[in-house]
Amino acid sequence: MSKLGQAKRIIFLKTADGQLFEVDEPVAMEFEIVKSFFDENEDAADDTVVPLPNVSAEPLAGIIEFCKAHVEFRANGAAGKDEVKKFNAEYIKEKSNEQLKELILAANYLNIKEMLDFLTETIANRLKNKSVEYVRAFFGIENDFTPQEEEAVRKEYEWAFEGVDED
Amino acid sequence: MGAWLKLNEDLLIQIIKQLTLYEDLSAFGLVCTSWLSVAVMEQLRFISKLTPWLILSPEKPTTYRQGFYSFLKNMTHQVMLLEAEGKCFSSRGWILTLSKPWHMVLLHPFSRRQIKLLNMTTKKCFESNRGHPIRFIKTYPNLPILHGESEEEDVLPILHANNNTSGDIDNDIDLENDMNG
Repeated sequence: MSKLGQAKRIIFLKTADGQLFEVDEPVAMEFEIVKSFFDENEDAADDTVVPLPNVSAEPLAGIIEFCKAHVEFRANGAAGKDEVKKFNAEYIKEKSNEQLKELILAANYLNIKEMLDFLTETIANRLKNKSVEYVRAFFGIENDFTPQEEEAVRKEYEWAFEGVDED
Repeated sequence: MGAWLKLNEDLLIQIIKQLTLYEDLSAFGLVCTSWLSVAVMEQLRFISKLTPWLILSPEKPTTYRQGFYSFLKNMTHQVMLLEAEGKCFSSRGWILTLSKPWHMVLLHPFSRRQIKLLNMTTKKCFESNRGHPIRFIKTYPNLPILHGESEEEDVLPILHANNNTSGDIDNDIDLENDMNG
């Protein structure tokens, strides 16, 4: 961990697909997994590379962008303000469902609470008023109910499936 | 993508918490068996936070078919409620059913969960309310009543109509005690 007065420390992260990222310490410390890595290895050398075997470069770049902005918001006392909401809305607007999935899996692995809260909310918003088929396709999950089981559960909730969007 | 199956339960619960419609929870539960178990586990907490529905007056007085109107979706759902005999009241998305001799049961119209409450004649709140609940029921047979909100998970406020006004019964019913008792 850097001490006061010390030059800005850079943390090195290596993704599953072999890319090396140089991240400002306050941003990297948003990742609980990186933070605990350094907490457990207090005497780790400054050029220690933290391996992230479950994260590839694309989602990591997106996550760094998000965390960097939020660290700055907090430093500027803008947390919770409209500025943040605007950034979040812009950030997620261009993301496909596929990218969103990559992001949440990576953020879950890295254990970034603020971003997870935001991503689960976004996913919930995209699932609202959708059919079961849509939700399955969204998550790419195979239906493992037997036809009889599914029929029974569907019957119980029959009313709930009126008027949902099929796409 | 197989990774979603490995999504930890916490993450699924976080997503469920952000949903607002009971219908969405149902769709979530029908995805696969493991998600159904998470949805069922979260059901009780979920329904206590739902946006209120309007209970519509039955078309015929003898029918068990009850209409529920959703503000969020602007549509009416018809549900067969064999469990709810006679008149019912509503609180936080639950239907409070009354049957002789004053047994109160909380019934959730969509999940069909039931919670038995204390016998209402033992509750001070009804005594202090002057007059009998039966009169209240007869006086306001078709009044739709919405649920109230409580900050505390285990306390259930009941909104009721009384002398043409709505108000809270002074003593909240402690759900936890009633469930244990």
